[in-house]
Amino acid sequence: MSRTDPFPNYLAMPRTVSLRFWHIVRFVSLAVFLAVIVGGIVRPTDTLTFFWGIVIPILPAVFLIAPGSWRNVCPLAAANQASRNLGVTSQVAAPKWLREHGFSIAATLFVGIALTRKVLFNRNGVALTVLLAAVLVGAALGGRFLKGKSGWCSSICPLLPVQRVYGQSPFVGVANSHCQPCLGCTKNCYDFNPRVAYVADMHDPDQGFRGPRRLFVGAFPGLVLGYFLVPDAGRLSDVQVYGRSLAWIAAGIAVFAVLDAFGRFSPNRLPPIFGAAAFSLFYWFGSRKVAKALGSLLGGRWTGIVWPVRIAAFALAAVWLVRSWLVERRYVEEVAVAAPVRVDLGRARTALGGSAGADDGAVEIEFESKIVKVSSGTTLLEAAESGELRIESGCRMGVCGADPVAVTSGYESLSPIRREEADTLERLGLGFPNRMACTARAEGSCSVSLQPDRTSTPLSNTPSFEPDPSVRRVVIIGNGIAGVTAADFVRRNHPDCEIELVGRESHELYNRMGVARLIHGRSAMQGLYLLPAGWYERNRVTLWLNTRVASIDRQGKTVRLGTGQELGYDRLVLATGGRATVPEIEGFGASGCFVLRDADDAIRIRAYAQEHDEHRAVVAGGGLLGLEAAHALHEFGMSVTVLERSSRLLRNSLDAAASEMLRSYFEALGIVVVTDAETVRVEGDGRVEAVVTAQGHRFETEILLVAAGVTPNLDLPRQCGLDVARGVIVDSSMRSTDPSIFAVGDLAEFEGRLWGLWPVAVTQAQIAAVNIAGGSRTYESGVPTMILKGVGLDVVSFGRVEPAEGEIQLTDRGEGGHTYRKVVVTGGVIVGGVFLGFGEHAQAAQDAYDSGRQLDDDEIARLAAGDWSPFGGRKDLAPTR
Amino acid sequence: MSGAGFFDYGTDDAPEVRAPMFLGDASVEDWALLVDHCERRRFHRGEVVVHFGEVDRSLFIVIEGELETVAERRGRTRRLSPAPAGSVVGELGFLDGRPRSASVVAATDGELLRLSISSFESLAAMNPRLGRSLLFDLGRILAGRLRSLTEIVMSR
Ligand SMILES: Cc1cc2nc3c(=O)[nH]c(=O)nc-3n(C[C@H](O)[C@H](O)[C@H](O)COP(=O)(O)OP(=O)(O)OC[C@H]3O[C@@H](n4cnc5c(N)ncnc54)[C@H](O)[C@@H]3O)c2cc1C
Ligand code: SF4
Ligand code: FES
Repeated sequence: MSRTDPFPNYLAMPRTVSLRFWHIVRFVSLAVFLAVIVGGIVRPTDTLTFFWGIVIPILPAVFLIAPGSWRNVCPLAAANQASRNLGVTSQVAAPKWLREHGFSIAATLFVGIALTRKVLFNRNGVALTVLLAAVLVGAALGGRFLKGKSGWCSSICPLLPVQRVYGQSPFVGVANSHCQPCLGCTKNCYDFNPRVAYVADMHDPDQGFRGPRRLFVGAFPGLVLGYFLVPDAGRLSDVQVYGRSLAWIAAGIAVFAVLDAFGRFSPNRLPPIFGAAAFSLFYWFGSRKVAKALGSLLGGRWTGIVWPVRIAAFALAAVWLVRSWLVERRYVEEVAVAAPVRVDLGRARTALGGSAGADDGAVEIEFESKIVKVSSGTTLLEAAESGELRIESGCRMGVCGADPVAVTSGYESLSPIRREEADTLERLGLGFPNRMACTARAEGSCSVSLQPDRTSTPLSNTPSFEPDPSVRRVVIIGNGIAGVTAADFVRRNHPDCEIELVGRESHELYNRMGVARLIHGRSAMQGLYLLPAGWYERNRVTLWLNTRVASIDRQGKTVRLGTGQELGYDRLVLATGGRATVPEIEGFGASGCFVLRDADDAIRIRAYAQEHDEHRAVVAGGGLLGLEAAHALHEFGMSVTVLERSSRLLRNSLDAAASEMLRSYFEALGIVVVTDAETVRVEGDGRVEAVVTAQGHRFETEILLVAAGVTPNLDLPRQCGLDVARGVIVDSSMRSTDPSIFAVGDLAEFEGRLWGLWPVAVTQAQIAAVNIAGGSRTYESGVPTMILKGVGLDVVSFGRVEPAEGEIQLTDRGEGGHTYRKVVVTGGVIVGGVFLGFGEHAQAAQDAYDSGRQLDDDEIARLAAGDWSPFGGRKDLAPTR
Repeated sequence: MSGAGFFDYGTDDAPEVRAPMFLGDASVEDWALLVDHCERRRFHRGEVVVHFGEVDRSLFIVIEGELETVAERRGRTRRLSPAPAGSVVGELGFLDGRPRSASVVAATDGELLRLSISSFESLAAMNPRLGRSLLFDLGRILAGRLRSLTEIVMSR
């Protein structure tokens, strides 16, 4: 790979000679300079000839070929930098007037001195001495007080304007040997980045900055011509000399201005032409003067050098001109294609918690393909997601089994395994060093493989009771999480019985909570399956997929399959879950109408939207499922409207403030949320064209997705005469009114409640399984945690979200208006909470809620003051009030 | 057009050099929110961070170390521009979702933040003001480049 930076700065330029060398050369040049000063008085004629006839004529060529060498050698620069080398400079920044007008001063001095040559300096040794002494003192004083080279070399040095014009595309790059280090004293510093400084000047957006520089280069050829064509003083009066020279300058400027105004040139097209003209003219005439000077100093005839010098100067100027143009083109390309976009690293680093790389509460998680850095306490799942690694998720609470990972090092720096996670790992047949990524919080750095380690020995807790020998055949209806968990736990507790698992869908157990991703994701069912290959065989579970149970014969203890086969049972588990509720909507069923419950529903939606190239969708129902689906459709690229029947979102789980924020979050995403909008009618001729609400509003759309809740599948229990209300009524052992039949999951009704939640299904299935196998465990209902996931904002609520009499609530709105945290406290104990964002605090508060931990007065006072550090997290970012 | 990027003096009080700043007005809190929405990861010298032609709608902020944009033209790899710490890279793909126009390679070891478009969406929904200024800043920067491109065209 070629790594040539077209515009290296002096720190990046190769250094061919040492700094020491330049120091020595500088002493020599300073000595010569002092000699000229003295010579101006003691041997004026020779000194004048030497200085004006030899030294000055050499400089333009040096500036053009290797300008950096002069910057390092210049005796005035040495004087200027002496204070810095001696450590006596006060290094104040140049005052504003100097920064703004330094160039104009320098240019004026240059023109002034050049014009005065004819009337004074060319002829008067003392005047030359005074001039040189004055600039020497000026340069030294500038360096004594002002920072870097801003007191002379880069501001008012009379030769600087010439150096900048001629030095814009050096043939030989010589790195700045003065500034160690750079103090950033000058805008577009020539010594810092010689190859780009002049183009950058010409392209500067500030007319006040660019203007004088362009004026100077416009004036330059006229100045040179005038110098050589206007007769010397003596033949003309001083005033005439000045007047005619100025007229030449004015003529040059006029030509420049006319070309500039009408030529539509890029900013650095003309300046090199004028520079090249000045250079060629200078040597055209100057060559003769040099020949004369050499003759008078050394004797002999030197006219032979005139033509070679002229030709060389022409050639040099021509090549230089083209190079300068090319530099500009390259510059424009660089700036155009790659103008670096910069950020304020200071603030970014503060936000990262101190300087990057330091120990700042961040931990590194090394996945196979990349290392992700997160703050301590982040779950492995969040870390993997922030790294956009392929990882599945469902419940985000350790119960579904979507995200097992193997921890290859640093296992001990993860948060401890809780019950639910241990159960899930066991169902997956995974032991150490595997974890469920969603519940493993990294408190230190670790390495993680997204492939679980299947060679591990599963944790297994042997049952604490004897299996019931009378139970020989267990039939489970429903291959969802409730059915599979039941099978799993029956097998764990009862090694010998036969287990038949009948499921209507054609998929093995998959993550129902993740199906919304099938709408917008590319990976189809891949990753949604939750069981390792061979799980059913290994656990000796006979699986009937794509098979419906048609009826149950309670007397004969058999179930009849849709295929006509019969299966006898000693214990039967109903785990048929539910289906999407479709309220009375006139016209529902037209093509374009959907629900979202099974994987196949989601696959159909994706297919339909693609086939018909649809881009508008209405989601009827603003509950968890509706919001998730709306987000999925939005991610798919549709414009989505959510119609919610009640007056606010997630009415039962969020307080009014959180509800409102959630709504505005969705609207900010571009998802329209309409409350008090009950969908009653679908319009369209065989295909959805619009939906109409009870309130009379009409929404045009091509897709209607109804997310109005779950209706338990009660056909079988009804058919066989079990007690059903909204669901199958069960006691705390999960038995229905027939002691041989259990009901678990979305269709079980306990104490009048149906939750329709995954973790509830898991717990109920475990309890039923223990009771079937001969043990005894009872179910206690609590208010489960509500999590809205997959929408880019974590929404969590648990317990009571509105305070009752005598309870207090501690609330805090985060910045930006979409994050919120609140806990409800009674006597120091948390009885509920709502969190939008603030995931870490949500987890800690929920732990405190689960464990009933007592908060002390100080903690409550801090929370009340908006300092949530009692729940951990970054104190430095706690809001200040 | 400003070439101020060529004069990164490495000092704090550089005179008048005001390169266009991305999120120049963002507070530390804003940055904290941004960082929360970013992937933060280390890169190693030689690692290809962005592959030419890949579709990946995300924006990179170099926190430490240096990346560089490289382009292949007629079989030769050409280094387009260095992206030292503090640079933002990848804004084109981030904005238009088209395949990456150049590769980005790590010139040194370092660390970056990566903001995917979907994280950006939720960031912008959570804090619309921050989202807007992020987009505006990108817009401003692209407008600047468009102007420069106009200059290139005019200077030919
Ligand atoms: C999109 C979506 C997101 C969700 N998000 C969450 C969430 O974030 N958190 C949460 O806790 N819960 C969530 N849920 C709910 C959760 O998925 C359910 O609570 C859980 O799946 C219930 O499990 P189950 O086994 O009781 O029922 P199901 O998963 O419905 O399984 C029942 C199975 O039985 C089969 N079946 C039905 N009748 C018969 C029959 N006659 N013969 C044979 N088989 C039959 C069905 O086809 C089905 O496969 C979500 C649900 C959906 C659809
Ligand atoms: S800007 Fe830096 S390199 Fe340029 S003169 Fe000042 S100190 Fe020296
Ligand atoms: S997402 Fe981790 S177990 Fe469900």
